[in-house]
Amino acid sequence: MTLRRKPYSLRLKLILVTTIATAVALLVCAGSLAIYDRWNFTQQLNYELTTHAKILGANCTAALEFGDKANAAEVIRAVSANHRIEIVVVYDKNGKEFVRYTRPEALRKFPAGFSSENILSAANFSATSPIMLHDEQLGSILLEGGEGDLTIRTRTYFLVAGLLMAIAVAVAIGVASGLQRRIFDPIAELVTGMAEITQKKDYSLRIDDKGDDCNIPSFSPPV
Amino acid sequence: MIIAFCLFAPARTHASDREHQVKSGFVYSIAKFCDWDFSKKPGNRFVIGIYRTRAFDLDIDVLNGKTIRGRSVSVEQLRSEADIANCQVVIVGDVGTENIRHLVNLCKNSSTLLVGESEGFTRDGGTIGFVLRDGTVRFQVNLQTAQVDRVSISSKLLTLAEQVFR
Repeated sequence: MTLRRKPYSLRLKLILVTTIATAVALLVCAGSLAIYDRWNFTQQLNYELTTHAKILGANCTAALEFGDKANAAEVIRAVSANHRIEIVVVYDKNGKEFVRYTRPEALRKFPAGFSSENILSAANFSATSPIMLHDEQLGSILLEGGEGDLTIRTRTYFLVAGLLMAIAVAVAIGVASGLQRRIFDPIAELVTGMAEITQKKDYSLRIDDKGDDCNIPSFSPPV
Repeated sequence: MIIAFCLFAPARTHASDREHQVKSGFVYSIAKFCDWDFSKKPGNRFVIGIYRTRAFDLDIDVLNGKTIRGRSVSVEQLRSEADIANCQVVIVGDVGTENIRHLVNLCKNSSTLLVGESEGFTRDGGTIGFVLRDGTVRFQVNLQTAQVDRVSISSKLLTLAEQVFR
C-alpha cells in the first residue's frame, strides 16, 4: 500500500510545486504591473491636471483682467466634462479667491468657503499654475483631482488579474499533470518492478531505463 | 431749482467720475489683449490720444508711465486729426455718426484702435465702444474695423464683449 501511494504523493507534490511556482511568478508579475500602473496613472492624472490648469488659466486671463467673475465661472465650469476634476479655484493677483467650481458630488468633501490650504490638504492630486498675460501675473489657478477613478481602476485591475491568475493556475495544473508523467512513469515502473521482485522473489526481472538519468542499460536489483 | 441742482449735481458728477475711472481701466486692460503693427509707429511710446472729449481727463492720466507691450504709455490730448496718426489708441468723444465714419476712414491701415463711448459708436464703425448696462460698463467690438485698422483683438477679449460686430 505504501509503495503504491508514494508515487501518487510525489506526483501531487510536483504538480503543487509547479502550480505554486507559477502562481508566485504571476503574483509578482501582477503586483509589479499594479505598482507600475498606479504610478503611471498618477503621472497621467498630474499631467492632465497641469494641462487643464494651464488651459483654463489662459482662458481666464480676460475675465481676471476685467474682474468678470461670471465669465471666469463659465470658463472653469467647462471642467465639468472631466469627471476626474473635483474642484477648480481661481485666485486673483493678491491671492484672494476670485471664483471657484466644485463638482456637485464633491461638495461634501469641499464645502463652500473651504480655504485653499484645506483644499490642498484634502486633495489627492492637485495642480497649480500661474495665470499670465504676457509677462504679468494676473492670478493663479488650483485644480484638484479625485482618487475615485484610481480606486475603481485598481479594483478592476485586481479583479481581472485575479481572474487571469485563476485561469493561468488551472492551465498550469493541467500542463503539470500532463508533463509529470514523463518524470513519474519510469519511477512508477521501477517501484512496481521492485514490489514485484520483493513479492515473487523473481530476480530475473529486468526494468528498462527509458531515460538517461541513471545511466545504466537496465536495472537489476541487488540479491 | 438751483437747490435741486446743487443737491443732485455732485452725485451725478461722482457717478460719472466713477464711470470714467472704470472706462480708463478698461482701455488699459483692452490694450493688453490687442496687437498692433508697431512697424507703422516705431519708437518706445504707446500713445493713448484723447480726441474731442474732456470726460476722461481726470482718470486716464493714471495710465501715464504704465507699460503696454513693452512700451511706455503716454496719454495725450489731441488737437487735430493729424495727431491721430501717432496714436495706438484714440478715445473719441461724442462726435456724431458722420465724424466717426470720417475717423474710421482716417485710421484705415494705420494700426490705431478707435475707442468711443457715444451711443452706436461700434455700429457706426468704431472699433470698441463702451456702453452702460444696468450701471455696469460693458463694451462692444467691431471686428471688421479692427481688421481694416490692422489691430488684432484677442478672442479672449471677445468673450467679454457685450456684442461683436463681424
